[in-house]
Amino acid sequence: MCGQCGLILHRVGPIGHLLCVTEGAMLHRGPDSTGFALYGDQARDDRVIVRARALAGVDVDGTLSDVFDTMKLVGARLMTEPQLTPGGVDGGTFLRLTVDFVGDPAALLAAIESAEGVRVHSMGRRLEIVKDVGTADEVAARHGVEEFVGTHGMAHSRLATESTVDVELSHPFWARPFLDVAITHNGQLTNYYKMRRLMTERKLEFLTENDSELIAVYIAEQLAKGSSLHEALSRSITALDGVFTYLLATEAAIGCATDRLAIKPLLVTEIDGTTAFATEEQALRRVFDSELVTEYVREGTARVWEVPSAVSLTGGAR
Amino acid sequence: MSIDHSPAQKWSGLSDDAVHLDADDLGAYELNRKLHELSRDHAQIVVDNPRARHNLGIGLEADDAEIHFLGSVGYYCGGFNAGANIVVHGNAGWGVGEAMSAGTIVVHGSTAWSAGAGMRGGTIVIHGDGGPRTGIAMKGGEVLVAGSVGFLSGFMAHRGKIVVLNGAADGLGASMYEGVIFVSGSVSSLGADAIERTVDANDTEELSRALGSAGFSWPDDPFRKVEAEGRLWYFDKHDGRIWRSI
Repeated sequence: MCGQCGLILHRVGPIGHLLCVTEGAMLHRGPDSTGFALYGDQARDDRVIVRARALAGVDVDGTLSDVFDTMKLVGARLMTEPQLTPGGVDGGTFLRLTVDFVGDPAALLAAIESAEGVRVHSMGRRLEIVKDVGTADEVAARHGVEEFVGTHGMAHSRLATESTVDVELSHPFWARPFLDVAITHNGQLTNYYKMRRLMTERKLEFLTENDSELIAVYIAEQLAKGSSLHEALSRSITALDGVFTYLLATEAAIGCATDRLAIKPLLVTEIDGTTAFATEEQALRRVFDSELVTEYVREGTARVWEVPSAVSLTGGAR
Repeated sequence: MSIDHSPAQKWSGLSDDAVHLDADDLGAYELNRKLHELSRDHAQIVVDNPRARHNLGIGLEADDAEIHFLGSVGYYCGGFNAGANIVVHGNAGWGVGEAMSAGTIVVHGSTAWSAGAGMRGGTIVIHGDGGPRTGIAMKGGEVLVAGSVGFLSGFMAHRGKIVVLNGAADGLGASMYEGVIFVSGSVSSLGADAIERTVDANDTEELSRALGSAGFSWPDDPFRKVEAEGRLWYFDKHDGRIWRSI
């Protein structure tokens, strides 16, 4: 099962609220955990927003103080007070850090995770991943998702099949250490360990042993090497083995890819310049009126939708 | 895949005497219970705002009742239908008419995977395209499709008839037992053990009746008739190649 959705707004708007309503309609597909990948409207080339969690039992004040000291060593400086939110069932403390940083994201990531018990969920100029155990409504309320304003995003309700119910194993996954790349995925890969071994040989790293995280890193690596999103998604259809229908977001677009049977459904609709995706049509109809014309994404397909407002935002935000 | 939303086409066939139910006010269980009750005494029931919700119109029995859903429906609409005439003015999700035994389901849009899965009787008419696995494991009845059907349509059908006017994707009629598929337009490939047979005069007469009942016109391209060759019915080691192709 699992239910995923995505939205590209035609202009900056209440992306958190809309994703919450859409995802809330698919609770029956995955009640274990819910997550959101949100792209804000305020991007700066010298700023990275970090979303992370200090595990339960970690001394947050002491750990953060260590983290900030280590961050200084890689030239990163906190721009505002860190925002702390208590976690749900799994406990721990969720962190949102706004960091002045222009260097190699991998160095910043290593600095933050050098502290024991700290797990980074996302890093980006605009991307913020919020994920926790619980339903869409519970997670959104706990983490202030409803108020988030932005351009595009994705959400995912998880039915844990291949691994345990856990915050870090919830979707969306960030393609570490590549800024602003995130995935939601419905399916299971059958060539995961082979792919992981090959990618580890290329010095790529993973937070978890979840197959969805691997797809995100696989795509982000190709984007970093100069492939277009469509090229990378197309290549994944034959490189990956198993069942997959996934949404992959960058700062400027959302794309999708399906395996050769596409047994995990995904519908897309475009209305008044807004593009919406969801596993089930009824979820889309919670947000849009009944005149919607929807379309199933076909088997063995890679498609990309640009974020119309992304160019002006990244160009003029400094 | 798109539906004609022009006002003249929209919600055709509704009578002024129809009873209306607003799906927004009712859970799936309540809505189905009301449909069962109302369909005993009323000729036409109109369901407003179905919003692609799942499990609508399940197990209805009254064969003189007509139930109209004004918009798309979700998964398993008309499942276990035992006589009612259901009209969907939009698309239908997975498994429309699953395990139905009698009655009709007319979908004015397209259907997702597995329309008519395991159906035993009755008729499903699809004015748009049928998705993958249309008529999978059907055991009787008819599925009539004005558009195309997706891959593995007719897969493991035991009995019954599928008529497609505008082509089929890969694996058409794979691993069928009995039953028959008539298809006009291009077919990407036939499935394991599926074989093309000659369309005879009886078939043509039967097709005329079926198309007439659905209100479809005769297609330009000739029909091809697809059935099981029967080599998968019993195991024979000389048929190893075809067994491996499943």
